[in-house]
Amino acid sequence: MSGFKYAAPAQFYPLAGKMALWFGVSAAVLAVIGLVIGLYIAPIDVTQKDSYRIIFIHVPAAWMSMFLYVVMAFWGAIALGMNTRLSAMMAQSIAPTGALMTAIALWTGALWGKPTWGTYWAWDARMTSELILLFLYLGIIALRNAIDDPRRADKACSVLALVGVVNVPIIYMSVNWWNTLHQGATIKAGNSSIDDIMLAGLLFMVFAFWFYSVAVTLVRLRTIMLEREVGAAWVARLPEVKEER
Amino acid sequence: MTTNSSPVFPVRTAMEPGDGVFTAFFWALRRDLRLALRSRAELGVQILFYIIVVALFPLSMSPDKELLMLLGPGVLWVAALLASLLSLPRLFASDYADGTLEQMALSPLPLPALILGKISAHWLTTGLPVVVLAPLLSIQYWLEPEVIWVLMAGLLIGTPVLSLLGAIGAALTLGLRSGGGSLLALLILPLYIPVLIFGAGAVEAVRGGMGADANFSLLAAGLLLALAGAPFATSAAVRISLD
Amino acid sequence: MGEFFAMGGYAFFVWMAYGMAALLIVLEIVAVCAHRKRALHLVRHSDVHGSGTVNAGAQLKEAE
Repeated sequence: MSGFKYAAPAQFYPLAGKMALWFGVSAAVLAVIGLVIGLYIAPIDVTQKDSYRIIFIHVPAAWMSMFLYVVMAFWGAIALGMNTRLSAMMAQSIAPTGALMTAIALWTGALWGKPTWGTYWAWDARMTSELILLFLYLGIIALRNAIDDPRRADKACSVLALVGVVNVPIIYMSVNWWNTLHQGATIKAGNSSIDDIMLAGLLFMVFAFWFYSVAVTLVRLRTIMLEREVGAAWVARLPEVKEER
Repeated sequence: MTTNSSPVFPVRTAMEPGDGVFTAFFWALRRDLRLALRSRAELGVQILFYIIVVALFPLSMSPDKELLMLLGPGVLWVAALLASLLSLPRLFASDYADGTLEQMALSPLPLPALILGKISAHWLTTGLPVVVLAPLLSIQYWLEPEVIWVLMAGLLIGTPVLSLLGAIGAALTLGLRSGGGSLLALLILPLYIPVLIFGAGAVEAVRGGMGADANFSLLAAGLLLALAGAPFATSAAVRISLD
Repeated sequence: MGEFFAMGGYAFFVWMAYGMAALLIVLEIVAVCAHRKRALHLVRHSDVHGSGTVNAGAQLKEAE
């Protein structure tokens, strides 16, 4: 099956490079469109006036923080179950970007909260579990750094990621379970409670963040492949490696 | 540090008729309790740590009764978390050092059951004293009787969760040199936070007149989830660390 | 134009939010590129000759 040949680092490396470029450029284009809509074209909100515009960063970042964690846990599970190197490297590549998204979500959330609810922070369910998510990401990165043997690190981080994945549904559902600060879901299937232009801007930004995350993760993955496969023949044959020699 | 190898508790390497989950569990439980009670000083130090941490806070603030009543439950909970973190490396460290852990992993007895036995022993020597001492320590904070009950109940359900989740962290960080203790804390504290929130939240709820049912239900659910998952996750982590 | 930057009086919140997000993203991109450069340097000048995988990550960590 031709798909499985990409499970080998040597085969996936060039493909990852092309994908990273494609996703990166697309992300930039989508972001420009999204930002123009979000900051300029979209009308002001009735209650929040202009401060609601933070939504165009906050929601995509928050969604990516959760999505990336699940994807990371998924690849970790594959790495544990099938003992494959590339899946483990994929999980390793995702963690820093996931942490970044979580940090952006928390920061923008605080700045949105102050004008809207009068407080930068409240220990409500969603904020607290998002903060826990950040700590989980950082813990996984710290564990990775603390373990010298890359294979042991792969498996240990996969276990930790899977243990923490329970947190993600809690973040997602906490808005429905607990009636505290956060509003209910803004985008529901088929019946959104926000203006169409705002929705368009939001969707552009969501895809922009998504594509950006993919691009950055793939570039990091290629770097990790180089580090971990440094002695391999296919690495020595790479044009960017040969040109120096 | 007393040695672990003892003729009374050799690691079981052969299955006998009737052996299984319960055998493994009780064997590990009895063994760890016996070993813990041999080093009573170490146990005493950990309990003393808990007492001292709880006593530190009133010393550091103005002894305003209202303030102490407000902070008391939170302080007791945080101290319980810290006491748990402090004692977790001990869970696997000596067995890891003298090879007993490896033998346990290789033995035909189910590793998750053995680990659950160890965790239970850990809780009996670390978590249970916290629960029992709570009323005594609450006196410093002028806590009302009903609050003390809620606190104890919460700690009773919550401290096993701390031991269960902590074991996963202890297993993942086995044998790591740099700051094994602080790395363990970094890994485990995010998982502890919900326990803290619901445990301390139960007290707030009762004080607010709302009743602690929701908090206790969530704590209990957490305990069940931890009981179901932690022994297996810890077992996987032990095997990973032993490779 | 000034009206755009004023964001209806919420300028501080909106621009701090967007600004920090932009900064963090730029930092990430810079870090990833620097990481890649270090790895390429390592690979080009490593003394390992096709003898299988090696944890260059640890070597990189020491070099930092």
